[in-house]
Amino acid sequence: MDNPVISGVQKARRAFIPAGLLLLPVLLASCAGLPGSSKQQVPAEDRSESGAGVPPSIGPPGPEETFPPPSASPAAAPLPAAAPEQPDVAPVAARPPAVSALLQRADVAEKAGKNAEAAAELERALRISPRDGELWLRLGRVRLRQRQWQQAESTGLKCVSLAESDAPTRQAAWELIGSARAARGDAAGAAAARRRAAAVIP
Amino acid sequence: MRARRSALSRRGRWLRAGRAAGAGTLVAVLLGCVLAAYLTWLEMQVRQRLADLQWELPARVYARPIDLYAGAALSAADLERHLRRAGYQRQESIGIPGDYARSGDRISAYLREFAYWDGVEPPRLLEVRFAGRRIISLRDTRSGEPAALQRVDPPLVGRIVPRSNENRVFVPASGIPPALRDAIVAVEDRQFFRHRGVDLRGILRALWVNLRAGEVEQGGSTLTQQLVKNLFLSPDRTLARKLNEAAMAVLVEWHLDKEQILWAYVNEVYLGQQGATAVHGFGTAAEYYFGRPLGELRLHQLALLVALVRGASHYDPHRHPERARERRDLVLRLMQDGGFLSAAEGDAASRRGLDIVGKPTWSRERHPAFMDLVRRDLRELYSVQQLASTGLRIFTSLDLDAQEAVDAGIEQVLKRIEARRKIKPGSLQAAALVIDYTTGEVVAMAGGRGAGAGDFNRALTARRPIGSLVKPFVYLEALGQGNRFNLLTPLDDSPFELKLDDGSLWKPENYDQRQHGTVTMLEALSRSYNVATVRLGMELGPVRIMKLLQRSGLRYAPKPLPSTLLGAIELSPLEVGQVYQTLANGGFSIPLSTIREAVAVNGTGLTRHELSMSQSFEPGPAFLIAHALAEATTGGTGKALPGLLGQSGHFPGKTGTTNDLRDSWFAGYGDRYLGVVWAGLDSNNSMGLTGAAGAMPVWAETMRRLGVEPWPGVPPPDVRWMRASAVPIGGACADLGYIPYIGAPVGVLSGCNGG
Repeated sequence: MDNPVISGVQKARRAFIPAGLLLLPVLLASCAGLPGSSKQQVPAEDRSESGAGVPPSIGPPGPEETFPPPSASPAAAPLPAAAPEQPDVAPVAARPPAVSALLQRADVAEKAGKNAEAAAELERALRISPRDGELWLRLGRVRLRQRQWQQAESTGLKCVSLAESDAPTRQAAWELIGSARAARGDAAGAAAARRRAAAVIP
Repeated sequence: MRARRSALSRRGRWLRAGRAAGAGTLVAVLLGCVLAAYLTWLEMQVRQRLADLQWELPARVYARPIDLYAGAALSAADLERHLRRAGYQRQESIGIPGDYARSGDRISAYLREFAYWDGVEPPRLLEVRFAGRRIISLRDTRSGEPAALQRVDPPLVGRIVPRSNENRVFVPASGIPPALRDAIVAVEDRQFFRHRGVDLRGILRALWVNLRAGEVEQGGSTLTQQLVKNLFLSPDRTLARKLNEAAMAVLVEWHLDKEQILWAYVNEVYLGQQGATAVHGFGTAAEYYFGRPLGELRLHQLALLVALVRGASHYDPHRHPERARERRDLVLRLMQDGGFLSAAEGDAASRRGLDIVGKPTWSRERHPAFMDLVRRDLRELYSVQQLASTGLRIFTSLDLDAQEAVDAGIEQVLKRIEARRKIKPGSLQAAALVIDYTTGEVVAMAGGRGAGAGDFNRALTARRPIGSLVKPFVYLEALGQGNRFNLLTPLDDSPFELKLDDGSLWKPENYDQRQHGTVTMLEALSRSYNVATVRLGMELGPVRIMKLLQRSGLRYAPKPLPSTLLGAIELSPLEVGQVYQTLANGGFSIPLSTIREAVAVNGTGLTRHELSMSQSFEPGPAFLIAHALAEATTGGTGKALPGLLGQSGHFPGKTGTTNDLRDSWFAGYGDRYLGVVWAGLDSNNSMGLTGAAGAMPVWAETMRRLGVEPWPGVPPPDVRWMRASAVPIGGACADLGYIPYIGAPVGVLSGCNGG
């Protein structure tokens, strides 16, 4: 019910889209090697590049396509897609010393068997760096020790959903998810998670 | 009594004459018995009252503490603001905890001891250096060592007072500053340590002093009598009361030693009135008048509090600063006379201003909407009685910077719109909340604007149709169905009619009254096309969309009528915040919360809110929707946003407008904060504003003030960027830019591929 405002460029685009749609599927070309891709934030395991035309695949993700950096968007691209227009997103930043300090405190608490305290330190760290995958992994492990299976699984899933999680972290998180599911009695789910863990390419 | 007297007179009539002397003796004995009984009864009362000399302590509600660490996004001005809110005072040189000094990009602060839920943070002298909006270093001044992480104690933002409406900050006996003790004794009861509860010489002296001065400089009541008056009696001044008071004062002195009496006095005496709530005790008064703990007050401030004992309303430093100052200086003079101060100390203190603070940060009116939500969350944890009397300390997620940004954003933008559109000033209303979507914490909430904003919390209780805010969930449902849909899947936007269950026909129309033929999902969502959305929603089934909303945190699944696909669902801004939190957080739903920890006053009985979440949908489809919503705020219905925000980064957001322009909605987010804004009229009449014209500018003004960072737009691992092109028949290959895509491409048009 909103008022759609159509800019000149978009009007022009609209003119050909219906025609282009007749020839659908629309061309989706891999964007590997476009200018600026060297600066992009690429998860470590996503280096391999495959060309366009990869057949649909289901199941564990294989080597992934490249991620064009948002900044790689050529000004000429008429469709203003969100990410490509964006300036460089923050590269995976070095962990702030404050977070490292909290991780150490969590270590101490865990070794003393104080799971609730460890979780609290990790949550405090997550308020500082909510996209640090390792923090989520650590929190998930604490939840597993607290026998909170559902929370352990969700927290693990949160970890693997982050592009910022590196390959070993993601692999460990899938293992964690597997353990949580197994503990809950979901054998099939646990097996699937362990397959995902095995499929992560370091 | 009356019965007794009439009995006596009857007896008098019977026994006639000559027995006056005997009757007199009898009366004396009877009176003696009555007096003894009365004193015993008083004694019992005193003993009982003193036995449970435990004050009802209100729950204290704190905003969030801030974490200082190298690299934190915080400017010197930000830290200074936080310190002032927490009652720190800027000084030339730092002397005591609660002081800070600033020179340019460097702040030194003497952080006070503070009991957090996880332990006591000791006092610490800290030096913080800034470069623009960032902390570059943090150093413990005493040891010279860098500090990795330091909490700064949070501002007090509210209290939950008991039904007695008493509002008290308890001061332990060891926490009474010596100067306060001296001042109280010097001014109120010089013979305190000598008398037995009542001081006849004191009464005479007071009479003499007051006669000479021509006004009441000194009272004749001892501290003990004053305590009795505060503990037991009503304030009327009859002779009977005075005698009662004196008797009870003597009894109190039997039971308590002088130190205990002084301690009770410090915690009990009446020192002011804040609305319906009485300010009892020096601890409470220190916070009320100076915004600092009693232990941090300087001589001139303590003297002012003692000045108030005589008449808190008469000497109210807010309303009668001159009067208060004169009385304070008298207190300092009496301290000198009593030998408690040197002339130099007294004069120095007399030269200081009153140094009081304005309306305290925890006053009721400051954050009424957020406090509402806190109270609602607390009710699930504690009984009313526990809340109001056991001195709970409640640590919340409230961010006062965000709260101020929301309040100011609403006021400023609504004023501007009213002026421009010639709407009656003050008639437009808005409600808003800001959520940290990565943790599910509500960081600010506004329930309305202007006077009476506290009366009706629209953010929490006003349910309005959400209009197009529902659309992202229609598309999300589609994108979640494997590779059946992607952002470039064509949708039909040509008109159609729907036969409803009641037999009537429904013909959805676009806002611009036009049909757009075949459009992509990306276009249909970012431009909020109604017809294409209803067609898609009917194909998927409204029931699936409603269930998705429920999975995303709505407490119930709305009835799946076709009209719900266009937002005929009434939700509060808070409920909208919950479902959008799940969307912004990549499908991970976290129940919204305001309370982090609650601790009983003795440090036991900790309740901690644990971060818990559940996955409502996959991160991939959530990312695709976010991409489309980022498109909406750059080229779609919200394309005015970058101009309003003054920055070009991406902020996924959705406008919502309901029939006849009654409700204007906007929900959008950056890197951490999700904001939901509703604007409209309380009368539910049309105010003539779309989501983009009413709620979105409020959102933008709020976020601009908060200095939010854009959405990072980093896709989850199963999403890739594809360069998409489309080829019109007979035309050249046209570049559609990058489109996020889940899984492998469904096909490639080779004709375009080579170009």
